[in-house]
Amino acid sequence: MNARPDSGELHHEGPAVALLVEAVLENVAEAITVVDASGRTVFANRAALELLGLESEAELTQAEPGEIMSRFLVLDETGAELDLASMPGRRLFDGEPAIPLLVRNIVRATGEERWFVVRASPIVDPESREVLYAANVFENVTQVKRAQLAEAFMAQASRVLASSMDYNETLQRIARLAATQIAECCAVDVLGERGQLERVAVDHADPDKLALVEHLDRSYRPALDEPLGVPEVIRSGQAKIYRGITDRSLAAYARDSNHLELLRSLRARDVIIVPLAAPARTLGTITLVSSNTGRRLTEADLDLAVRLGRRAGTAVESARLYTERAHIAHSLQRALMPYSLPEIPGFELAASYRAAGELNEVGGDFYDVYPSGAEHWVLVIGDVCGKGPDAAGVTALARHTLRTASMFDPSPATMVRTLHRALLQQLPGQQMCTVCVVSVGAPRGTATLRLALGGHPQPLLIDSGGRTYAVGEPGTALGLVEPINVTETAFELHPGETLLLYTDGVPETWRSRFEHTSPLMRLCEGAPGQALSELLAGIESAALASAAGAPRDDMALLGLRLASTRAR
Amino acid sequence: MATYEQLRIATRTTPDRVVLELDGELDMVNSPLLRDACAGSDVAGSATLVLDLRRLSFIDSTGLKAIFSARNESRRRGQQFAVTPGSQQVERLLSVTRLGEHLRTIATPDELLV
Repeated sequence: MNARPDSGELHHEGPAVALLVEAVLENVAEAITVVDASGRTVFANRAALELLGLESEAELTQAEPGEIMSRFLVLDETGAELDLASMPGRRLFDGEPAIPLLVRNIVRATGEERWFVVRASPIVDPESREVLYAANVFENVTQVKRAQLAEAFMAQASRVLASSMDYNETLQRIARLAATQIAECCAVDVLGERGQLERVAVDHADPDKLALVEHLDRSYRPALDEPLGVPEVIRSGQAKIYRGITDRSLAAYARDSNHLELLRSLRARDVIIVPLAAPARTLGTITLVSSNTGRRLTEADLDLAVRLGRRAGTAVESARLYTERAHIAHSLQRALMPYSLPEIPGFELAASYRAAGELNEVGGDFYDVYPSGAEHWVLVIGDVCGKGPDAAGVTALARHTLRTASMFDPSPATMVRTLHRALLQQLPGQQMCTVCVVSVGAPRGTATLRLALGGHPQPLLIDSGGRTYAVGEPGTALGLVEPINVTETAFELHPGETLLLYTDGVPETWRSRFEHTSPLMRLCEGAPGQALSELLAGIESAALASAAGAPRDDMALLGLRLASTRAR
Repeated sequence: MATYEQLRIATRTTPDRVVLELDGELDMVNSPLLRDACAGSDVAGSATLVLDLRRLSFIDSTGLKAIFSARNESRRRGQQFAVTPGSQQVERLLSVTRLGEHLRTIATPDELLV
């Protein structure tokens, strides 16, 4: 027997119907209550008694209105506390429509969280049309809602993780998400390079507690050989959930009385620790803590945390590999270029280089400047077909072959032919490379330069009036066909004149405008009034702008200017 | 960012030759398409392979390498190999690299090879 309305409205058609209604109500899964205008519950079916955590009808009928409800925290979807007056059943008595409401309900005593859709319909006096009772139906949607929230959380977390390669930043955002949506506190620890634990992200819904959590970590960071907690999960790779942490277990875990005090003031009730799992190894852990004021952590939360740990672990591992690759590419690239340009007395020298694409790709363009015998220097610019490690290997071969060749015979044409033979010998017909080799003697008023091209665009000679001339005879690209045709050209550089060597990537940025070298030539018109490095920087930025910041090929520039007599 | 035109390759077979019509851009990203097209059985079985470059708007050094791989493979099979002229940019690169001198060039893809 349950509490029932004492007026006859529910069974005005006779006791047989009333019994039938009661039998039906007892067997529906939804919790159903009937409340009068004073707020007193006059009927509750078995499911409703279970929902309210009551053993019998007596508890309900003897309770003061509001007393039962005070055992629950009733929140709306956003987590804001709900005024009972806004519940659909109460609205009926105020003559308002009862709009179904999604309610988050937390049992204060246990921290259990439930979600309900609450609907209400009026029981009206047939004559006066007055609302006598509100019949409330509570549909438990906890499972559906949890699954929905878990999916929404994972989607949000995935977006955050994909947003940046800076994993310290993304993990901090993940900690914030988890500390607001799953538990109150979330901390991420990773295994550092020297095998020590490092806290990389932490957040707590309560700022005061956050300071406490940070203090705890600084003072009592666990050592890796400790039997429980984070070290245990790192060793085993298995997630752990500790529900209902007792003071005794805290005392057993604490290293000293101060540690115990700190742990106690955290008021942790449930703890989940999951591995930050990359495909092949455990990188660290994600720890979630709920305190005794919030909701309990469940097995469903554990599943969600395990998924989060896998997703985040994979993202961290990719970020690490990406950074590592970028570092390797950067070191390799540096090794393929001269660390600094040598001083050539009487000349100004400048170079610029910009690899296209992502920062972890090694470019195929290269340049080099080095002395070759007394008062004699060699300038090289080249372009190896392709990108990445294969191209880097050929670049290294080209650079060092040319350096060695210049020791035996400093003639640019001989050096170019030697490189061609080396490419054919080592990578027959597989690698193509273009080069421009210039040899420079010490200036005697003017300077004599000798130049040979192997498939490379002709460099530009810029005179003191800003006029440009392509110099050198086109030669065959190296490494691909036999025989090659390479011609050596000699020319004079006068004081104030500039020789500009470039790779195809530079003029190519203008190709969509049906122009090729002419924009480059226009930029060179200003050369006489500019320092050489300014000229190169101006060309590079104009080319970049023309390619909208994303050139599809590498760009290298190398400039040599004979100082004007006045300046010397 | 520049819009990267893609490459389409159409294969046309006549009694005496296979013509691969390259339409678009031949660069590092899509030069494997040319390699795949050349590996087709209809290409291998023909006496002559012609790469029709008249609709090729752009080529880079990787693209040049791909054309010479096709030429070398074709020679190895004992085929005749020829190309038609490409866009201004294609012709410019062939002339700067002097690789054009190593290709047999015909004005139209069906021109007789003697």
